[in-house]
Amino acid sequence: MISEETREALRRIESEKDASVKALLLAALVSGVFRQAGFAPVIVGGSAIEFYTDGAYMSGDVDICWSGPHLPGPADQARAMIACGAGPGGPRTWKVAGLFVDLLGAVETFATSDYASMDTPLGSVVLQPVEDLIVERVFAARCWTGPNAAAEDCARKLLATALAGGLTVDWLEVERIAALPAYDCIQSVQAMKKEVTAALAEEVP
Amino acid sequence: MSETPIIIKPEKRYTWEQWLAGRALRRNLGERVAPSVIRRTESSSDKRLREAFDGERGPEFVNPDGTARQ
Repeated sequence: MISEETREALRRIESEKDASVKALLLAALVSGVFRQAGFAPVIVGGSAIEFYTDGAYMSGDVDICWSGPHLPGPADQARAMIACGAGPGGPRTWKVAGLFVDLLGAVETFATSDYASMDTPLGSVVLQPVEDLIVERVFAARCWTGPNAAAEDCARKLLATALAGGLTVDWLEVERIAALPAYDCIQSVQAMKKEVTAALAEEVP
Repeated sequence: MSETPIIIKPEKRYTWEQWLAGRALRRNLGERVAPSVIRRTESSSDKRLREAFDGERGPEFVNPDGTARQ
């Protein structure tokens, strides 16, 4: 059963032409339905990076993980997504309002710093800590399997926004996470941060 | 609209108005260090994404004036 409020929200999302706004509103709608059912959704990965950066990075899916002790099972997921007007789009994937929503597992975070939230006209979304994302993307760009151009661009945009785009970032926490054995990439993080800082300091012609 | 049970510090809460107001700055900063559009060209979700978005991996990114970001 889809409520009239949800139908109205879906109409707004479907008519939205801006890919980032569309995805953010959809993430808010789905997050709200899962919260009402007692779960704590967190937007992760490329979708979270898109909302932090406006970097034209994300694809047509929104990735959701879960915080806290309760993860929604398949029946919980089906109830919530059907209430959002979604139909199945593949394993762990639902299609709604012209986009895909991927329902994943427990959120993985090395950060002790906090999650962020963004309010929208359709409710709020909770985002993976930016400190985690910075380290993860630099690691993918320069350490994981060797140089990765796509991850490099993404990490540079995330660092640029983190340095000068009005985000609250705990840089000590970034360095702590980067130094963990799980990543061991502190030199790469420091180097890329320095490069991006220098690029931002250059005069724009 | 139900609130998240996750504790969010005030300095990490962003309003809709803040998010909208900061878009131009974020785009400008990003485009000074990387190309405008940096969507990955492939992933494990390629098949369903390209089927759904006319051969692309997601909807088009647009500028504030409605033109496509290049």
